[in-house]
Amino acid sequence: MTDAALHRLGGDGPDVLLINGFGGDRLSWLAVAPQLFPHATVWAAEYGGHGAAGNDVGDGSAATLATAIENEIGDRLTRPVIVGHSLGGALALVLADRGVVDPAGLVLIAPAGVADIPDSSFIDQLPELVDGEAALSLLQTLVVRKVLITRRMADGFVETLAVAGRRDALRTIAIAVKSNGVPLPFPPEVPFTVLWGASDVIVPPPVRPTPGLRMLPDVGHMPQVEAVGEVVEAIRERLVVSGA
Amino acid sequence: MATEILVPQLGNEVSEAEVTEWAAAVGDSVSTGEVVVVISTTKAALEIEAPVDGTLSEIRIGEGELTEVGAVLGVIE
Repeated sequence: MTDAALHRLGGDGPDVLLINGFGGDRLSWLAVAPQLFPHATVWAAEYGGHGAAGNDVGDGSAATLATAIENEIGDRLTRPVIVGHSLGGALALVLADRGVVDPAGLVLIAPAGVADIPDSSFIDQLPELVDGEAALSLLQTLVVRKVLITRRMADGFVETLAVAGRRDALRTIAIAVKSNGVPLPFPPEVPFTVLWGASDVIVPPPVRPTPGLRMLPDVGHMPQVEAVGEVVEAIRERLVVSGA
Repeated sequence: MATEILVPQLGNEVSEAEVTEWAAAVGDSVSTGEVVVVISTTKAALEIEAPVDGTLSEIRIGEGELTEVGAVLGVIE
């Protein structure tokens, strides 16, 4: 069985499930999660190759990773609002489409699988990083305000890659992401909001009309870091609208 | 009246952060909602906004220093 991990981050109230992007983990939500604690029980799912999850990712496809998350959730969550960033957004769409988790709503942050990724160099290079300087340079492409990615973070990320099997897990996922040519559908039955940084160079905003899209000026691929207020507001709105 | 700029709650697993950058200097006027300081952990950064209008009168934790959740980063008067 492929790996995933589910963490209760804190808070009390209706369930919110956060799913990180490629290379991230539950601590990627550091700025957002505590602001949700007064309003929700906040959970974070990590799929294989990420955070505390193991490194069995199967074929690395969104379908496989989503199944691992479903298995980990079981009956522990009730109609969560699912918040997915980048690859985590693609997983949120798969979860919503299947309906096993039965989300009350979605907040999709620069979701993969919706828009074309014209340049795959980020996901190609990330598993191969071996030194902090190169990691810093690559990771800073995630944001507009470079001060938000520090050398300490870059060094920490390279350390995570030293875990046996982690690089191969990420490579497998990267190959699967690149081979998925069919855009994921937005769920017809689940209300959703889409947030996208206007200056995102990793997964650039979609050209085609996208329902529920809110563009965030002067923000890159990490709105949960560069536009925390807007992300929290979108999640809270979804909690209210969904009656979760 | 003095208003303290605090290191916010960072979740159950994180108790300390590093001051990455002060965006304002002592003596600068700051407005509510303006980013005055950036803190970071090994995983993510957080921009902290001025809680009130005023003048940054004191910086207690300098750039590159580690600090804890709840600590006073600086003071606005």
